[in-house]
Amino acid sequence: MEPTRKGFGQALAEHGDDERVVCLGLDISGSITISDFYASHRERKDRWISMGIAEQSATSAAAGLAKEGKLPVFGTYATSAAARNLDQIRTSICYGDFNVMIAGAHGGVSVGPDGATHQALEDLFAMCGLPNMSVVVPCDVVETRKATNYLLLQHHGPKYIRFAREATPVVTDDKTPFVFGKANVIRFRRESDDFLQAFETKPEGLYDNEHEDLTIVACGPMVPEAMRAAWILKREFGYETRILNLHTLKPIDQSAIVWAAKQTGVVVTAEEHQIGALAWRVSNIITESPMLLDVPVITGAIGVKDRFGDSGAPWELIKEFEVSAEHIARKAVELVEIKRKHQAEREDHRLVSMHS
Amino acid sequence: MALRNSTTGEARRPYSIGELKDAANSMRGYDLVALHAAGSGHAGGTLSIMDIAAALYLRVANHDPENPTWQDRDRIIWSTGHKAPSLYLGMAFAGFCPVEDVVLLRKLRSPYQGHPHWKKLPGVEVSTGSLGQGLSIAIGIALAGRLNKRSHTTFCIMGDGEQQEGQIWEAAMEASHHKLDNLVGIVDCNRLQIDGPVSEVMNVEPLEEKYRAFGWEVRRIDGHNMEQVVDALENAKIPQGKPTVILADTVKGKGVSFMENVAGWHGKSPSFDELMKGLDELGLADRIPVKDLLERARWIRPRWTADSTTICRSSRQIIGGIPPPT
Repeated sequence: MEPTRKGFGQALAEHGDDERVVCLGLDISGSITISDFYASHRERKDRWISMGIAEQSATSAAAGLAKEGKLPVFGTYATSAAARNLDQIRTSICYGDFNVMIAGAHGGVSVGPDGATHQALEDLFAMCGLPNMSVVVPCDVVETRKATNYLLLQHHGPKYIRFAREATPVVTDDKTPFVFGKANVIRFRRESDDFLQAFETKPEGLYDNEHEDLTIVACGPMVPEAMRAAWILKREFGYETRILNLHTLKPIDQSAIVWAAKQTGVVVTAEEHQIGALAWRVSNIITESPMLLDVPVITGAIGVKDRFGDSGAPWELIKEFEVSAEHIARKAVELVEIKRKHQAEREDHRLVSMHS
Repeated sequence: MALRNSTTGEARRPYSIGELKDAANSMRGYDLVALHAAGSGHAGGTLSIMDIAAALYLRVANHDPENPTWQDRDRIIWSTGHKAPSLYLGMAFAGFCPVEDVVLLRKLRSPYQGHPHWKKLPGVEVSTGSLGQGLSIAIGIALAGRLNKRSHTTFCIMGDGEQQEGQIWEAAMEASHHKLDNLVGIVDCNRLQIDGPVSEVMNVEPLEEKYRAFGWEVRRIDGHNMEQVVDALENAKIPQGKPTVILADTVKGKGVSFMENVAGWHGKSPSFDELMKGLDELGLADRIPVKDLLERARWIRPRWTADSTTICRSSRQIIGGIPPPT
């Protein structure tokens, strides 16, 4: 278990020697680990610029730095990094199509006791709605490091990366593939004392259909929840689950979603956000795909249901807000039963028409 | 200073005060033509800032129209993006773009967008229009200049009504905290905004005391006195350990009697009669090829693809609208 944001600091420490990288401090720099950029590298201190608790101005200043060829990075609570400064992100950064990296911390209810004001549950709506913006929601600390490395040094344009607050399970390792814009398939293979060893991860493009009973599409710390759900579904119900780790929300991996829908017929989305940032995008791809014209697909969405957060322990909050593995599993069972009933009815219909 | 050849370092053309006054006057005339051709836009503020625009683009700023991305150029940020025509005319008179093209203002796919977009026209530094953001962008550019050990100056043009935006004061705090003496703010104090006098809508004065309290060097000038404008801008380029702001007292609609000091002319363009009356008052009625310019504005259109035209025309027929031009 480790907070995802730590991977951000690791990547900045690792690649901060690039003279173009400039990190802006918005006062919670130790917490979001952006200060790791210079903590062990005092020679980088002139590229560490403190901007105070003034997110709007810092956001536009980042655009100015990027215009001059710098790679500015800033981050704070997602409510301030991707909401109060939304117009600055839109006009100063995205319209100008600048290389600015924005980190939104404390995404989701699992932030815990700070309560509703600090639990960002809407940030992804805005970030995914901006032209030129790319959005990544890594599932753990290791994926955060890989995503930061890629976004900071290789990806041109505005980019948003979202972290959870509390320590979350580490479900990838150095060897797990991370390709921007491409989903990974995760499959439960066997029960094991080592959670990670119970699963196999492959890039979706290299994955062969195993005719699973359902698909769970998840991002961020809902990926480990989806993995727990897959385990429960296998053990309790004998269901096989294809998990899509959709770490890149924009641009979204359409092909992975369409194939999963076509091959499994049941798609449950899981996001620690108001329902929609993930669910509606996935639904849109399914409803628009000509490949699914004659394929019945049933969908369900796990996420926060149009309400503000609350104080509490993270484990209490994911139950209260119905975003735990158990909630995903329950929804999956409900949908698979509907699919099976529908399949049985179709089969009856086919047999009746054969004999009449 | 001035328009330079960035390769040889030589000045392209040294403008005298008298020549700058003439240029500002002509720029006002072209502004009226462009606004009339567009059928919308901002007459009042483009006229109030025009003397400063002429001084900056033709004399004070170190830049090269043939090399708009020259590393050592001075940067000019228009935080009040709605004054874009003055930016375009400053650039056109300096030689960055043809002056007759400025009448393409506000047309589909035009480089001369209603509010400036840097990706559409080389020489425009950044995209602005949402008030309050430009000073912060200028801070980012000034910080980058310092990191790159370059000595260029970044100018940021703001409005007095714009000072009501909270972000301006975040930026004012940051510029002095970081001792950005390569940053010059210019406030076009024309005292009017859309709803009426700035002092009544939301008073921003005393701006001198406010900026001074935030740690800025402050200078107040008559924004239509070319000697004062040039002197203030040139002096502001000399680093003194802190950012400088020039508060320029101006007249909204300056140069056209019926537009002067009328809030209603903030976001309005002149009719043909008003245009000709304005040009007459500026002494330009015979010096600007109005007819040619308006023809140009009327006939230059984006290249429609055959398909989109066909689809448009048939759908307009169905709904009974006006067919698009061919």
